[in-house]
Amino acid sequence: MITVLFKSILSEYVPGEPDQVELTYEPDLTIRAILEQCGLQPGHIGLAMVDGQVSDLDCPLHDGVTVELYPIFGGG
Amino acid sequence: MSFNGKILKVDLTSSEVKVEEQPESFYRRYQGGHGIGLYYLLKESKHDVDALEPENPLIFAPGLLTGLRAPAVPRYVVISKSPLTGALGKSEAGGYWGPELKKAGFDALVITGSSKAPVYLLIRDDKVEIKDAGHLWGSETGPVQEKLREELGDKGTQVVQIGPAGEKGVLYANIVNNLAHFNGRNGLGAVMGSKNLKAIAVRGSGKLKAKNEERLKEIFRWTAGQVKEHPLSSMLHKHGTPAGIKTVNAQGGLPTNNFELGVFEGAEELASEDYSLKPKGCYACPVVCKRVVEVNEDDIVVDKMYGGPEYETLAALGSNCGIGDLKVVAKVNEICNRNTLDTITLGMTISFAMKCFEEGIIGPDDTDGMELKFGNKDVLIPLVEKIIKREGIGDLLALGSKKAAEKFGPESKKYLVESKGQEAPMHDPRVKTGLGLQYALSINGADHWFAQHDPFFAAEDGFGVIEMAGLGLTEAVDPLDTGMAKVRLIYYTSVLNSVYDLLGVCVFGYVARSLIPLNFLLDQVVAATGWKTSWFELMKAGERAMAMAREFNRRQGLEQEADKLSESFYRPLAKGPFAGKITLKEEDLNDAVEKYYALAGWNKSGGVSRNKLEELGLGWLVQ
Repeated sequence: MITVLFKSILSEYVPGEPDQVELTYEPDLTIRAILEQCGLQPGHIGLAMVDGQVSDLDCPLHDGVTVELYPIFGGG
Repeated sequence: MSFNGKILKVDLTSSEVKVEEQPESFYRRYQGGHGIGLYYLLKESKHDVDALEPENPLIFAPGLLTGLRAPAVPRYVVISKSPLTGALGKSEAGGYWGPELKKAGFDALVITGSSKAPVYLLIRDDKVEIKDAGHLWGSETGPVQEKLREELGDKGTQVVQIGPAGEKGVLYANIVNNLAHFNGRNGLGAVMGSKNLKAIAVRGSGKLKAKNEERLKEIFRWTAGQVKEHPLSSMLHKHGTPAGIKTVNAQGGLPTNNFELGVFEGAEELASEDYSLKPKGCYACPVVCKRVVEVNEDDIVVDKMYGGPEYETLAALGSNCGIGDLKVVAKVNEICNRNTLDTITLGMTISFAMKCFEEGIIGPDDTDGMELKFGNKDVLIPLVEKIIKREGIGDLLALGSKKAAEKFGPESKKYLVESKGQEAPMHDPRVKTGLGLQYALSINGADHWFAQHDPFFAAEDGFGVIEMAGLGLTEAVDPLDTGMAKVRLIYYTSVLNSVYDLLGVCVFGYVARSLIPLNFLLDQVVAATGWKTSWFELMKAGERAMAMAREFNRRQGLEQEADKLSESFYRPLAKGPFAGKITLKEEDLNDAVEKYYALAGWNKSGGVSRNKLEELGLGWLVQ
């Protein structure tokens, strides 16, 4: 099982619970593939973390990890 | 056309009002905004004038497209010499005042001299009057706007004004229109106050007519239809800039405790939308992203009339001072807005004093007995009120952190976080190095919109790389890179942002921060003017304005030595993902600054070369 937390306004792009989705583990699953499933473009993402560590979008995910996704931001 | 061919000039010493006509070729060269503003600043100002002397001109100039029914181009600039920095003062605002000045028939307003008694300027089309403002002096912005509109019998009158902080000469007082749209930085409200000019009320009955109205309408309709679909504009529309707090905190770059920490435990509360109402917008802008906050509780009441705290204010007065109480930050924001104070420099000056207090450099005897410790929310409101009134410690802190450091002593200087004497905005260059280049190179002191921000260019499928490939920015650049790829990114996008300021563009409407693409912006310039123009000509106009700004600073004695960052930025963050890591080195940053000079055609001391001035048609600046 992989837990994905959609932070801040990214929660608007996922159904169900406000900000959390549980995915069945599949080999070679990446954050980029998760984004595609949710209709998010990579440019939406300002920060991706896996178990609290910064991660790139193409790194294969292990079973049991928690992914946190934050929207892009630059310039207030 | 999108311009009127007329510049209004008012001398407050002699009470003389003149209208100067300019040909189309003037607009093709200087466009609008800071292009026109700098032209008049360089023509009208003496080299060694003090910013608060009557001889320092104060210029208001809407963008080339401002006033048209075109999306997200409501902005005007205020240009002068800054009393905070001694460098160029340049600060843009949206809202409604700039479009109204264009509708009244003027493309800029140049104010010189100083009135003996408080006055306001009333512009009703070509009728211009200097009127007594004795009854308005000392009043906060809300009552002044209400009184002026009542007296003039016209609720549609647009009022730009200063509050008591500008009257008292707080060196980071700002200027506001419509109570919530600020020419926020560089202390230009103090310049207005030094002229005894309380307000400028404008009403225009004209209508700018583009050469091709239909094309403007098409782009407006496209924008209005896409605002809620595009992820960036949708985020701005639904949540405003405060939505950035959580991302920046998770990245480890949220300014906390005077930029010492990159994460703040109170970030979730600061980012809360508990008190937010429906957002408001600017003239002809479908993005509608200006925050409005209202609090009606026993302990705190916040008036929605003055807007609400944006990202910069939440961080500057919140996390950066260690304060996570949203209601308190919203209240201080309201007090600042009523009195016209720059919340960034205010927050940074307070956080600097807090750091000095915690380090024992200053003590209760210096602070009127206040415990200036990070997180002490109880001192925030009384301290801000002292600054506005210039009482006690407030009189010193009204000068900003760099001048306060002169009084606190040399030990305090290592805790400054500024460039050219202006305090840094809420973006940490240790997490995105492009901001370091921006702060160092900003002609008007540390400015976070001198260029575009690194995160949009961090990956090849990032919005910045996709949208700006046409400018030659086709590759991803690591946010921590300081090499030529980063210098090129900052150079190209600094010229682009200069173009944005010429046209009156708001970055929250256009790429890379939002949705409207560059080809649509070019189409709008063509539609507005009928010119057979191109991005090449626009970028050259952007370069031209930057060269004029640079030349203004050179005349103030500011060259390469001014393009530096405070040593604070070269110390590692103490908390968060980047804790203990040196991500920005002084030698790398200085090397990147020199590379930027080379790309820009500036000489090694940072001055614009004679050849570059001649190329840009600025031979008149060559002495």
